[in-house]
Amino acid sequence: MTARITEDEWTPLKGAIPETVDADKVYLIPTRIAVQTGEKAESELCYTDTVRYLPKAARANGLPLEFSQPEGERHYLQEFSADSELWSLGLTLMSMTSDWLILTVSLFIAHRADHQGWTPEQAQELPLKVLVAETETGRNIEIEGRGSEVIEALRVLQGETIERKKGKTKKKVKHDG
Amino acid sequence: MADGKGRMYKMVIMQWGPIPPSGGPHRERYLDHHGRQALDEADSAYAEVMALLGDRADTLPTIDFELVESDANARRAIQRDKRAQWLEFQEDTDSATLDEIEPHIKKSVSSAMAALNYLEDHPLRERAHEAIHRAAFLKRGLFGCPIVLRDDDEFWTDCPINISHLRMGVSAGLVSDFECSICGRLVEDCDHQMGDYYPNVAERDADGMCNICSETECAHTPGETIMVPAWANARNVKASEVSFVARPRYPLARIVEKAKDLGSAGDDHLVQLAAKQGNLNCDGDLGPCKGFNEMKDWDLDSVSSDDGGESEQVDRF
Repeated sequence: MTARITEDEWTPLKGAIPETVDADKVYLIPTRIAVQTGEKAESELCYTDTVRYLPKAARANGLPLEFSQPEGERHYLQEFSADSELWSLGLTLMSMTSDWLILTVSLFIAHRADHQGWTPEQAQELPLKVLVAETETGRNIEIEGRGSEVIEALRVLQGETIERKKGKTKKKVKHDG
Repeated sequence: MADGKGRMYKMVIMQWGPIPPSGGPHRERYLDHHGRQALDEADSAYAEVMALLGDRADTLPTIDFELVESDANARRAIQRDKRAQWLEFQEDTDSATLDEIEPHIKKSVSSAMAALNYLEDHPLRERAHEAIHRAAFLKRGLFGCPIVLRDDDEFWTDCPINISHLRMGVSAGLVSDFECSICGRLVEDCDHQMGDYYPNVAERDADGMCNICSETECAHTPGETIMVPAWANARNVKASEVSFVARPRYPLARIVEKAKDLGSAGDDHLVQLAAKQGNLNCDGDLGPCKGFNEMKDWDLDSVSSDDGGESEQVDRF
């Protein structure tokens, strides 16, 4: 596995994470800021255009993936370059152990395959960056690599998180006992 | 060019119609299809010019040089030689024939440039390169490649050789919403799949516009149910920025005209007068280029056929 995992080198944009995070949901968070041109230049949180249809695809597949920003307050930044691009996905959830995390990232890879005409196998090998803000710990994790490597890294991280939780529970039992 | 104005460009930022695929096999097919189509159009228009010239086509000045030449003096010598040949050819060409030829050769030039923009990473790239030189050579020979003067101190050119050999494009950054053509909700919030067909009832608004085809005169009868594809309609489009990029998503989003620095020659009133009267021409089309500027170091001065601005030679004639 060669995916690069870094912790707390990235922080979510202010206002990107919803005030209330449901433990059984994954939220798509904006990762860009657009500054409008003109006299009254304002900056606003933006999703990249590549994730615009992702929650819709998730709904069709029964995945509890939602935008963190409410309807009517979402903005999408479209950039019209065809230079080699790194597709990225910003997510927040209660815990890395969520059953929906890997399914969400897999859906994003499948969405790219549909969108650009790759086979599922080819899409798995394209570069990908996933940003995850875990609200129960405040950890901000960034994973970058090929799609298949990112999925594998998420599995490892989930395993570590589960082990850590088990360890804490055991310690707590001992302590209480 | 007046001091302090810097580089100036006129650019196409987007194209009308659906947004081209961003990457992957879909984009490769899109570029291949449109590139071949543009190349065919360039060839057809050029063939039309040859047909209009009839027997005279056999006496046209020819591109009998290698298309790429690194030596600036050699390029300039060929340009002068070819300019003389074209002046000789023009003397025996009647204006009625020229009027007939002009739209076809302009079409050949623009289609060849479009072909290169679609095929720049394709095995047919060199075919598009040749088609540009072929059409630009003839257009320059018969009609010129004018450098125009604007605002009394800005020289502008749309020379196909100089413009097309600068391999970069334009990417706009937009913040926009997309509305579903079936239900009018934002595309991310409704459950219609873009491109799939759904039943829609035809109706007309107060201005008589049909909701199926957006025409006021059509065969759709109000109340009739018709299967129509769902598509995303942009609304609330706000511009954020414009960038130069190596590969624009809209393949034709490119520089189409640029200001040209003639150096001290630009201050010569005879040169200015020639530009005002449409008699100042770029000779880049008449000879070899120095290859494509792939913008690897983003050196905007290193364009194809001129030598980088201030020192450029302007023949006075």
